[in-house]
Amino acid sequence: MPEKGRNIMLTNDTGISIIKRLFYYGCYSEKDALELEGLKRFDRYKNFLQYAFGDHLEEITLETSGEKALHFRTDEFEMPFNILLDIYTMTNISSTEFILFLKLMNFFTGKNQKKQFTSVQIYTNIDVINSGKYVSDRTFQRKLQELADYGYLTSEGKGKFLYSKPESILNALDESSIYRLTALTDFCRNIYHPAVCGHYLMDTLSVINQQKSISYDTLFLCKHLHMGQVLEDEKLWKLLTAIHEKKTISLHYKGILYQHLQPHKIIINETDGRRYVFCIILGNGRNGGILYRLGNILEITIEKKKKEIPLTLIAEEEADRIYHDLFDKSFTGTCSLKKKLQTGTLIYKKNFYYEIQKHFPEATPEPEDELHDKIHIEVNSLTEMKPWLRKNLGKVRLTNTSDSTAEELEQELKEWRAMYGIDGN
Amino acid sequence: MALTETELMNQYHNRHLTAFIIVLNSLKANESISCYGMIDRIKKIVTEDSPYSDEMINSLIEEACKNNILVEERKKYFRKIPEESILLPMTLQEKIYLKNILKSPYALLFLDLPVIQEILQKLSDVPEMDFSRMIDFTGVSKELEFDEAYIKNFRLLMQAVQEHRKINFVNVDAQGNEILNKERIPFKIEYSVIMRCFWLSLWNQTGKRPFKANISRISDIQLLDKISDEEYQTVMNMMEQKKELHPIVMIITDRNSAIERINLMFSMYHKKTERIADDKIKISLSYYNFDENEIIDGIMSFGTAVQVLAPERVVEKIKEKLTAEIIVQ
Repeated sequence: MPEKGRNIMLTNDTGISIIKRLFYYGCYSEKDALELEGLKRFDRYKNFLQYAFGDHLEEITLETSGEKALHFRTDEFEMPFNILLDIYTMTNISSTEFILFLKLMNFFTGKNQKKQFTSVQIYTNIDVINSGKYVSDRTFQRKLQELADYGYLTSEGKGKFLYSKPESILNALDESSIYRLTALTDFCRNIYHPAVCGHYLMDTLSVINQQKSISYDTLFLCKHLHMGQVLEDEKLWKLLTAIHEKKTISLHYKGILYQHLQPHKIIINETDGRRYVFCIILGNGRNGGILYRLGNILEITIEKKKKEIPLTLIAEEEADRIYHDLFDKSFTGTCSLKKKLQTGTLIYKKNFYYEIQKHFPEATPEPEDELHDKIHIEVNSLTEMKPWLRKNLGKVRLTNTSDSTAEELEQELKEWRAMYGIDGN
Repeated sequence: MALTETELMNQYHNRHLTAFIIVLNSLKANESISCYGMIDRIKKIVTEDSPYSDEMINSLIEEACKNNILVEERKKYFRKIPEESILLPMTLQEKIYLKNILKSPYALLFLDLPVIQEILQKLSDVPEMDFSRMIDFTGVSKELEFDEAYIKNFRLLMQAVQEHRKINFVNVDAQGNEILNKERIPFKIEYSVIMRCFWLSLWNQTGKRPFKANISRISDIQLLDKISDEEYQTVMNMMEQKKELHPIVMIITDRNSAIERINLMFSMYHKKTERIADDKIKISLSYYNFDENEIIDGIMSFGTAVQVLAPERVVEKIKEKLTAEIIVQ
């Protein structure tokens, strides 16, 4: 099959970085190519990217430097998130796999739906020919097991397989319910992680929709999505399964190998789009917690049990306690408590209380003057409040801080005004 | 097999394979299709200008004939068992995902409880891998709770968007005034991941402008006539023209990962980025006027790491914020 690319793009770091540049920055230029690939050719993957993104990809010349670049043209009305998700349906699939899959689906359609077959019986019934040659029974058996692992077939033991019929789940639904289920899936794949699972489900539903002559066009737009997250879904899936099956992991993070970690929780900051995994460090006598950013993790391995390292996982409640002790007072939820809490006073306009309450629901407001109230706050780090304070400049101000944050903000405001030519007086 | 040994990527979820199955299923008894016809239909489902499509589909047809899925007669192709549709079964990951979304608060906006329960019952042998227990969200508003009236309104609005029907409705503005809206054209239902609420994105034909209404503030919805495809297309074109002519041009200095952060924040927008120094990039961001204030708020959160150069109106708005009354000195 001539379809190339996705595996190349999505299984190596350079490929992912190129896609990230296109989606985050909108452009992949000659300078980017030099930085990421060590050569000035920015169009090495152009064919694949054009195949993946169609009309959305164009070659442009950048205004300032005159550099050539690939440019991802999009619009919030076109839901670029779904275009990125499409990459996951651009697999390198060999003709053997393609035809085997098709023949199996064909074989299990109709009268064979409810029957169990051994791999030998299936093999005898559906001679799979690849480029004029029969596929060996060993290859065939391996492929059947692979399909069972994915869930397309149900392995019934003793080498028997049963077709995992979609209609057994959805057959009772009328057309209107199928349509609504499709709309629910379409909506959720943009907001429920891991989005790739939702995209696959949407793909499966598209065949059912076609069979029932249901036409579905997306009804939704989503705002504040962070598209690059999709490219971390493979890691996310691995972490979720490790949490679910109570397995320990090791991971490569910023060049260091960390072992014997008990993953406990995924934390997603929807304001800045960053995703983290909170792990309990096992094996050193005291159980501490640590947060790793998914974007900085190079590789995750689910550890196999070894007799020489008898690790005892801690109970979920205990892991929860450690997590809450470390993060409950974090303004963003992603900055752990270091030594002691930092303090300050927030003075705000009275009509800004709705936002204050969202972040500090337990604080008691005190009157400051006719127009303003104030609250005293305790947080893990005052620094992580800076973006929020800048965004709400004029509505809220931080003062009386236990560290230098308030002074730093004052100084920054002076520089900020100077940047726009505003007189400091 | 343990879930931990499964991988998310699945080569069988292939856009050409799905399209090929859809086209096979669409062939009626005795209906034949030429190779070009097949290519044409598949390309309508996958991307039109895919450089690989023709070669790939030819090779697929060839293999399908060799394997008796298709029968060839004088360069025309027939399905071997046309009365049966080939269905794609769900993978384990899909079933786990489906179970999760059916248990989410959003499911009731789309499906009735008995339907949800019936599907969940059929998924009872799927592992209980509850994402909501394993994933925490920060930086978001509280999850909405949907009452009966909200669900009824939401479904009516979905129907209006789906069927391209005009609507009359009442909405309450920020000052608490009730406003009667007549013959508005709903475009999409918009959801904010951060604010966790739904808006209806509409077109006001009288004022020739797009606007949004918070669905929780909408009542008395009346579905009116369908609009023609031509009229709908005209509205879409007018909507496109509401894009600001001049992009926001800004220089970002890479302080505290500002370059990565700002690109992540604005990844949904159409933009061009250019590296102008080792630690500086220039972004030109195209946008719709109704998003302007939100974009400015985002820019403000970066402080001196971002300097807006144009357009003048946006620069002035930032200056206004910087010179606003500094509270309680």
